[in-house]
Amino acid sequence: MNDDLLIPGVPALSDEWIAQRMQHLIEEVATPSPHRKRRYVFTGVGGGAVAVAAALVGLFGPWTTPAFAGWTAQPTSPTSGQLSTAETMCASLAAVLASTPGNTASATLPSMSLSDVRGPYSLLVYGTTNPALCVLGNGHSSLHEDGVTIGMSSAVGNSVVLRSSGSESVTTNPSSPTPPAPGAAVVNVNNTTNDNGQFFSVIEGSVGSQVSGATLLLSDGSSVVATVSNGLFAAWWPSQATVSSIQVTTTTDAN
Amino acid sequence: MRTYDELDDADLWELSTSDPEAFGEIFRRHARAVFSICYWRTGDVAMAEDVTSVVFLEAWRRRELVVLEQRSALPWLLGVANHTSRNATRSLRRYTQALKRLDGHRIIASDEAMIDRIDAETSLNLLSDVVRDLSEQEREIVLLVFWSGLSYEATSVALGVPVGTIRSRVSRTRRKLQLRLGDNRVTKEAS
Repeated sequence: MNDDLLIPGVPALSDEWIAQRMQHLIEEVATPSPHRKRRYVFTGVGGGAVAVAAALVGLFGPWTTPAFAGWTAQPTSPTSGQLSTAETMCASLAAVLASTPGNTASATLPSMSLSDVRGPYSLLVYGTTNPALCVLGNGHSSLHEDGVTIGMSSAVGNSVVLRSSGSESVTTNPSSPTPPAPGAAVVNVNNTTNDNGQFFSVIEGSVGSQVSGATLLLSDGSSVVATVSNGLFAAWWPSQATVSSIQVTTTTDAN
Repeated sequence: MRTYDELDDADLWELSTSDPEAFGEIFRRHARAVFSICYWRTGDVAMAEDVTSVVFLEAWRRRELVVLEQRSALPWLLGVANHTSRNATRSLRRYTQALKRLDGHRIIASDEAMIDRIDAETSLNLLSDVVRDLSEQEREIVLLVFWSGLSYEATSVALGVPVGTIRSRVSRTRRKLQLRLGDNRVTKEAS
């Protein structure tokens, strides 16, 4: 700023004024209104490529109600900045969790290999071998490696609080995924997590050549269309339902 | 454990969807800069204070449209402030109920603050004469570039027009002010 720049004076705002108006603002935006809608982000992060087999990170919390509003069974297009914001948050989260005692998460994430967007949620897969998954959303997070939750965080007041783990069930998590045959799909990670009573399941796997699409048929009779890209597929759904079977679409089907 | 101080605006903006206090932190960071725009626009402290609150309520309402510039929300917020304070009366009317909830909690200005206000009004009146005959676009350049110190890129975000357009508007405004003043004291923007 130049010294000789003439700028009109501005009456000083006191810290008391800032605090009082800030409190008013917080109360106003926290009050439910038909004009206000919540937005959640859900991302998945891949774990370290060195020793860790796979990582899954999830951010959910007690005030995630209604549970996973806006989730869609089919992937959607990301909104402007959605993926970059999710990537930033995941990288930040991984670094924070890696620095906490007892955690074995990698502080840095490999390159992103796949993104799965469902409405306001983003699931990001990092790496291609033993991929890691990061899940962000609603001010909460959880980090899973080898299918095990190793850390969670939640935003409370002016700080982010880390806690040891949520609970989850791992149905499939081979440390050395078998390369799928052409036209086939192999599950690498299939993880169901319970964070504050809200269950969500994430699946990640590899697809063989010629596979252009994959639809997961779940145990509750519903189906979820997975995102397929770079020889991988990934999807998540807000329940404990398990995968009964996977229907793949191949390039030869179209012929 | 991280505090809000360790988060940038982009992190806070994301967090605010579930944590209203994160949005409060954005207010704490940028309220004074937003207030400056509101004050320069309205020339009335009480109105500028309420318009500042309205700017953030409006920003919250339009939060899906936020554009962060180098992970800062300030340029976009100043753009909202520019628009909101230009139609201050109408903007205040839209949030009548929200502002009514401030009644009984408003802070009374001290004697010192009153003197401060008079000084500010005097300097604003002097410079208002300088910019009075400028077009609306040129006034926006004065507010955002010359007085608030935004870069061309940040001003582009604030006004939602290309950087090249900002550059040409700055050039035009500078020429006009130099002709009027005979020097460049009002026209040097932040480097």
